[in-house]
Amino acid sequence: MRRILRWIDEQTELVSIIKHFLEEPLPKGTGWPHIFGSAALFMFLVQAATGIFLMVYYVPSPENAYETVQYIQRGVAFGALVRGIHHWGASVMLLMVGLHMLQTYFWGAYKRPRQIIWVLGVGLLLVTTVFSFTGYLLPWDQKAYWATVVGTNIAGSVPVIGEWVRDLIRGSAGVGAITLTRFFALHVFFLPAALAALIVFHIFQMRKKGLTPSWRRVSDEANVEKTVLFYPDQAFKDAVFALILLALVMLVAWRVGAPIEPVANPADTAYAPRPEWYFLWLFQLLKYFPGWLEFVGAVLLPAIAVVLLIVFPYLDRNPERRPLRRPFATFLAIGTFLGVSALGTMAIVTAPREERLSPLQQRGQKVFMDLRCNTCHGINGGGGNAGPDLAQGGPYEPRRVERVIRDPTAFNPRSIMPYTALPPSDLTALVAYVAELNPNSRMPFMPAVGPKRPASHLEENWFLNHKFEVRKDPAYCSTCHKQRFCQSCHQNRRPDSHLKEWLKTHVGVASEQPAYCRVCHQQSFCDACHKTLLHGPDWLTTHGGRAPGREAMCGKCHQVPVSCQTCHRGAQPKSHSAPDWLTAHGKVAAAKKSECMYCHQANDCQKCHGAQKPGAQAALPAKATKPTAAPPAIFRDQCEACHGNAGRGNPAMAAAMKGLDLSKAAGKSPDAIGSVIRNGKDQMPAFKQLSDREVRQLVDFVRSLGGEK
Amino acid sequence: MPQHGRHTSDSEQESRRRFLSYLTGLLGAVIAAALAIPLAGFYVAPSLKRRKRLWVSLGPVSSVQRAEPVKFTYSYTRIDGWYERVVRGTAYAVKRDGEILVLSNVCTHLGCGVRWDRDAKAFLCPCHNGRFDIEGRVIAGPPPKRLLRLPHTVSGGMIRIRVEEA
Repeated sequence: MRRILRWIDEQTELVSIIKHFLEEPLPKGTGWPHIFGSAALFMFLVQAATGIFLMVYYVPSPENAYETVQYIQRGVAFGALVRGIHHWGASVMLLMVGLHMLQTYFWGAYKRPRQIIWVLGVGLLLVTTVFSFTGYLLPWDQKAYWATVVGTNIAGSVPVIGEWVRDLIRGSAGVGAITLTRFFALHVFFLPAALAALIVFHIFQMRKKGLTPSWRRVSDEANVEKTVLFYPDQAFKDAVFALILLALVMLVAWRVGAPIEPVANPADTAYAPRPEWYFLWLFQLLKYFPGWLEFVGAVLLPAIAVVLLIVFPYLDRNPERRPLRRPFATFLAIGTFLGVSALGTMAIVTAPREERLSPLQQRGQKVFMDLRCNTCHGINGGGGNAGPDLAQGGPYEPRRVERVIRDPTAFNPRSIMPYTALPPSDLTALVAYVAELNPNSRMPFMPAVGPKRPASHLEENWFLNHKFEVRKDPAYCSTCHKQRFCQSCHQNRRPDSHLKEWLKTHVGVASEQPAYCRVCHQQSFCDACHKTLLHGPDWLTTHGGRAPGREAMCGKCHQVPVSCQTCHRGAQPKSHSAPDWLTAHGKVAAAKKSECMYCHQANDCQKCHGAQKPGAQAALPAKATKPTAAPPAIFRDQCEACHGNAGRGNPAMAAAMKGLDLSKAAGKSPDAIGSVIRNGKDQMPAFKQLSDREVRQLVDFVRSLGGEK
Repeated sequence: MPQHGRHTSDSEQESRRRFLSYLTGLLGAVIAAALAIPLAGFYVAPSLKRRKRLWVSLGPVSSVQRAEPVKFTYSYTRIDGWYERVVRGTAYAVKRDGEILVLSNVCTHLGCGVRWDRDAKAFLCPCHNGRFDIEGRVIAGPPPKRLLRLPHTVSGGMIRIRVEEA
């Protein structure tokens, strides 16, 4: 062993360098109070080691981050422990940095000639803080998301440039994929590099200028004996403390574990974001600033504090190091420490209590999760979307809740909620739990994955994205689920059931309860067929023109003609062409205008009537036309529908046909007029059934219209 | 005397320091082990997971009639670490003496996918010129073993094979 070391040293001088580095003489009096700097460094190394290993499985994308963290937590041996160490290690590291600073402060170690070491130390504190902040987002759970939203919004409170700075930090307008990837890059590449560089420089300066001798005036340093060697005297103390810290962190990581909340849900309205303990004082401070002063409390004061911290060693030129001989500095520090602690304590004390459930409700909550009610129901989000979000409508009347559970169709005959037979005790508990749900309730957190229960199923729209696989190989589902699993939701409603005639009878369900459809289908599913024919609000008023002749198309979704008749009953479009319909339509339109509006648009009347109102029309033709001969009875029977009661043309038909005004034909020979009547012309049908006498009457009438000219 | 005393104090100091350095080394080793064991386990764990065997359906038995191997692809979903994916595989089924043989298309040499060559009447491996006959026996090239015969059953007109999760 020695020979190997000697050989390495001959080749590289590595051993001598390390030896020189370790066997640093330290001034007398150095001991246990000086362990915190090494402890902070040790915790950084622990964080680096666990962090690197966590990256083996972590994926920084909103799609996968939460799942991979869940996988680390439950799918990999030691995963929960490693993540726990990383989580709690961060707190301990910050605590060590804080203690190290306090020690440095009270020992007066920041004084001449070591001011720059303090300044570097403040830099390390800031980098460590940013570490915490960026690391927070990575699990992509509720706390991660909301803490980042709030934290970045603080930057947004800066006047003028605030929003730009906020968006720069986030990378986009909201907290999303870009925020996650840049926080990840900062957390695992930029910050470690910055921290490592600062640490090296910090320690280099410390070696260069020597450790501060305890309780000596600045001018009195030279005479202090250096009787302590860093290795092994001080290193032993550091190692003991490091082991204690590691044991502590591992114990907490093992017994308590790192918390993980439900996956980030921007729609959650009940979530109360709370920062980690080391930011609580700032969190509390912000409560005392009104909106327009937000910037002062959130950015200006902390910034001033940081600047003061940096320049402090240059402001405090008192050469005295003993705390009692420099009372101002001592009390300033104690005062600040107490103030910050008081704010933090108040934040903890005033924290809203977690909602308390009675033992019965707790059992109900368990029943709720055991029955997988959350597959369809959310509680302020976090569940499926097939059923109503239970938090939004609550609290409920227990008797109604019980009735719905006993008979899901009690209040809504089309409900797809499955019926579950529950023992009375479970039913009572479930009712007690559900009835008390209210807009402040939270979805109980269900640990998501095990090897047999992939987290993916809880992912939003999982079933939607996997319906084909599920359908193709139901046997695969049955490796985890019981045979009746599908039926517990679907009952008789299987995917196949949608084929054939299903859609035709479910238009009602689709339009009334689109959420049901959305469990399995995306909006594009409807659009795929409906893109040319959207049944929007004005569709019905115009469909009269489109439906006839396209019965086959309507028939894809509707039962023709049954569906038409739900509105039209007797009145089919054709009925408008009945001979007397148009003459009578004025009365119908006046009496039941709203019925016309089912099929026609409001301005449809004006297409014929122009500016004239229906009432005016009766008077106008009477004035304008005075036929010399009264129309014969046969004219009223056969011609009036198109040519109008005065032979001047029915305005309603004018849009469809030309030549309705018979006065223009008055000048023609009787034979020509008679021929048109008998044989028809253009759209006009042939009236071969008329007798010679009737034709002659009509010809005379037509010719009489010209006489008036 | 003082010199003597200082001398003993020095040697005492030295032995104390040697003892401390051993102790420090021991503590360091404990710390390193306490971190290394979980971290190593964390890294290695997924590779030790037992592979599941499952039955998947391959295709209708009616299509295996010709004297040539028929290529089938099969798929199944598996949990791959933290996500689920659809694994696709290929197998050849061939009827020999009224019995159906299902051959994996994974070359036993280095795992390339072999394919049936109608003209050569052999399975050819595209990587190192391995050749297998219609029953999967090695006829040329480096492969050490014949093609894997997948256990299979026929039920309801469908061939089902047992595969190991990839």
